[in-house]
Amino acid sequence: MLSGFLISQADGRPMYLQIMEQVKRKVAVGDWQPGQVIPSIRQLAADLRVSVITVKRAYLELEREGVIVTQHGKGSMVAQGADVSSRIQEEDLMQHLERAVRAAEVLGLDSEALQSRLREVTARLTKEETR
Amino acid sequence: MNGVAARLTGVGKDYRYFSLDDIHLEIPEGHIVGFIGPNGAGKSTTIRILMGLVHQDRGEVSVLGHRMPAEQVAAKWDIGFASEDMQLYESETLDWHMRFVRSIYEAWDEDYARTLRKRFDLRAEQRIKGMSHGQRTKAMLLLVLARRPRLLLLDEPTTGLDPVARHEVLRELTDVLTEDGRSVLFSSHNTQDVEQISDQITFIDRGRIVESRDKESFLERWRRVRVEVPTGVRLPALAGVIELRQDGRLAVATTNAFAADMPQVYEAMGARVQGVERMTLEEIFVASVQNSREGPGA
Amino acid sequence: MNYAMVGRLVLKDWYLNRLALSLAVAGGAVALGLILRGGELAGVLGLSFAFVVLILIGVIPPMWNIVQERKNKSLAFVMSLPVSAMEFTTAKVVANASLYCLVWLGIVASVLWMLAAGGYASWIPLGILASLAPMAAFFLLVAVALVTESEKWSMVVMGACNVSYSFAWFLLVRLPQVRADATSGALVWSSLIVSIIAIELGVIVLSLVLTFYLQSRKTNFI
Repeated sequence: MLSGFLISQADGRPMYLQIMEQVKRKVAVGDWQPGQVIPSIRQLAADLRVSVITVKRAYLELEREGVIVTQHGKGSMVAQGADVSSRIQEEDLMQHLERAVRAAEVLGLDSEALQSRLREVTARLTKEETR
Repeated sequence: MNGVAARLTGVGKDYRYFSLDDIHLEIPEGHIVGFIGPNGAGKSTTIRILMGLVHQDRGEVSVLGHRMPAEQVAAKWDIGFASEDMQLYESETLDWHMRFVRSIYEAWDEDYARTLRKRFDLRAEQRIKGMSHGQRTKAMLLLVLARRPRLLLLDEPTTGLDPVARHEVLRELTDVLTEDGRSVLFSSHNTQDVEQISDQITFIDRGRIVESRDKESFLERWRRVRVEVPTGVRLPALAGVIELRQDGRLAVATTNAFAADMPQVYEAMGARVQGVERMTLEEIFVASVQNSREGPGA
Repeated sequence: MNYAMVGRLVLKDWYLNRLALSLAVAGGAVALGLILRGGELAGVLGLSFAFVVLILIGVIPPMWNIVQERKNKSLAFVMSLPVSAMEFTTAKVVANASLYCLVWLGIVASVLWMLAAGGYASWIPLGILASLAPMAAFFLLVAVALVTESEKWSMVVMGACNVSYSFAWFLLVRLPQVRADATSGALVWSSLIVSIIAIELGVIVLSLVLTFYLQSRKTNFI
């Protein structure tokens, strides 16, 4: 069962995080349904050409977040009631916000200035949408 | 499962200008161990000791349950060894080599060998003489992989290979682990490859093991902390910081023992932490070796 | 000792040396043809040619499949196979020696037979002495090549042996007693000739013994 995942060296984040994100995306869009068996740690490691220990870490974290469940000897599957779609969007949003804050720092803007910029952009986009 | 495929305990070997000393190394069964170190650090010697081709002066070597070098013949039935400075017979073809190896090892998988030949883009009727360096490396790996040995000892298996070939080799190496009880140790200058597929990283320098631990915790221990320092203040080096560069008000601390509270420690000194960055294995490698050669803050 | 494995390595070396073997057989045939042709010039040429073949077949295969194999790093390939140092050494010695002795016997037996049939029987002792010289040199070269793994030393031994043939022959044939015996027409085994033959055989045995002994004590196989 190939995962269709792609791990990129150009992506600055560690491999296990990339794997976690791609698993969550699969679940979020519904490709992987709750209760569905997902590739074993070894299968995924071989598929992605990455170390077993990296996939193991990703799966452990995913289990901690309640996205998947691993049963010893039986493999791993998507957790029942795993609602990740909103969680993924949340994480995306936080990443974007973090980037905005760093950019503001470089420019020397304080928190107030940043928030006023945010209001500007929100207003502009809302105006464009209602056109 | 979860035994040990090979173990070196207190191994030492003395040459005129170089000594391997106090080597403790374990290859856990079912794992890939990435073996890195500068040129001349002792990687090839260590691998040869594992193969029984070099007899250690001190210490014990056990490979697949066999004591080396005494039981090297028994061990070699299950070991696949390929080295950068190993060559096949120039005057013969790849096919001749395949038939030769097949005549010796019962475990030869002809189907897999054919698949590998296609994946590696090699022609069976081609003489080794007419092959490029990369093709020869791939030919040698084919001969070793097609036997499906329990332990693979590879000295620089991806050196000199184009990106496509490297990708293929990494694929075959990670595939090895899908079978129970098989293990890999490979040495490489390509830290990217090592970082990607190794379960354990063993770092050797000047004949001694510098560090040997699982990859994830290895990478978690190394960070670069960027801080902005108030004017006129010089940061003291904290414990665990192996390199501290300060230029004016900006400083970068490189640490190999990162603790989550390190940023707070700096903040408590009045510095502002601008960022905590992970390091690639290559950066870790260089920082480590430079630190041992020149001392901190060079 | 895994005889099957040793056998496979021997076959491999025979196969890899097939060209040298064929040339030696061809060369031997040419030499014998010349001798059979009759006439003194052809005879001398034939004998010299036969001698050269014996030298070359004693030099080229060992240089190629011991020294070159090491130099070309194919030795690592062979030692990565499930063989011990002793099995490897045995295979090398057997492969080279069998190749050599085959050619040697073929040429020497034919030449000696021709000498006897042609009425030159008194030259047979010298003939045997001369034939054993390249053989002793061969075993010495195999020993040096295997043990030292050094191209330099192998060439030194090879060169020294080759140079010594002419000297030794020159000196030997000038000795009055030796001349007399050889031209007498009757088969005479003088004690000098017998001693020299004994020394040659001794060199062969000693080379073999030293080879196996020193190889067994190696701690760095590559």
